[in-house]
Amino acid sequence: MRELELPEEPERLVAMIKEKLALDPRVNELELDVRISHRKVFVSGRVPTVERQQGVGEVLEEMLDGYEVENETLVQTLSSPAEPEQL
Amino acid sequence: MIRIAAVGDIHFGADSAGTLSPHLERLPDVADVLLIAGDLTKAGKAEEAARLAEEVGYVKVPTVCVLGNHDYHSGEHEAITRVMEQVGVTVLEGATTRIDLANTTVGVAGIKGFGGGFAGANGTDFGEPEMKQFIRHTKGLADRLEASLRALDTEIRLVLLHYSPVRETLTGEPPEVYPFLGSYLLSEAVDRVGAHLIVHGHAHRGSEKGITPAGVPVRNVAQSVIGHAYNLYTLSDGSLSSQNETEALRKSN
Repeated sequence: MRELELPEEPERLVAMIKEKLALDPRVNELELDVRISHRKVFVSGRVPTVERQQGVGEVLEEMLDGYEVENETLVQTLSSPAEPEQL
Repeated sequence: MIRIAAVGDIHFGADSAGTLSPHLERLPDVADVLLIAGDLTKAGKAEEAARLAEEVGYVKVPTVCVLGNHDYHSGEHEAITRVMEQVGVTVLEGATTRIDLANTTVGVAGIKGFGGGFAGANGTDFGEPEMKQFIRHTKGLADRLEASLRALDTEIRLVLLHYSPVRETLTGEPPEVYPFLGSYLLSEAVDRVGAHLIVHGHAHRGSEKGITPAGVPVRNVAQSVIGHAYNLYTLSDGSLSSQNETEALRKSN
């Protein structure tokens, strides 16, 4: 099967990347930010685990031939709750 | 008084094991109920829910959840519900649960909700069958939410959603995606009856605090928004705020 061609238009490429990040079982994240500048792809946002952060990098490296990838995602660290809010 | 712990969008997977349970150990000391506002799982797999169940199953406070869009992704939402119920978690979808505390009674009306947008920038029940189906789905869920809320006879009424009922808690998200993050029909349904608090998730880049037009506090507890294992809220008495009560009364007349 022929590899899917990457669109040249940045907006369409962002859409393709976001769909891949949503559907790939290594990631399954719908709300990561993707931006492209001078054939460099930046992905940012929070992910729950180190494994999913690594998954983001793997997915992008596999699909983005010819682009440099900057995986700027952060792993969400959970802290204990703050003082209760009185409603 | 009731002490509420709430969190959403946990997105549990096999790689999440052990991330939540350390934070839940002291939960009985600080909360009377734990609300989980959907997206329990990463990709909607029952095996992912089983990992979460291992962590929340021993929690010694009543735990109530709704499912989110992620929990439907693999078509295993019914199995996810069973997995959670097997460890004592109440899973609501257009239903209610009642919790009797020493000093008050608490009712939770829960439903996933859906999109459609917010007044002035919302979808309409018009045109192609698919568009009508989209909006009618949300209308149907809002009707079920209102009916279940009306059925509660408890001193305190809480609403648990996944999708947002108000625009304010989406602040931080691109406005273009608001119609996929919630619907004003959900807050209209609550405002017609009145409630003490609405908790939701889904908007990871949104904001924590909002309010319905009738004055019901809304809190977006998506884990990435609150930055904690859960957030805590206290309600001091069983009376609705005067604005909330007055508006609910006005709308019912």
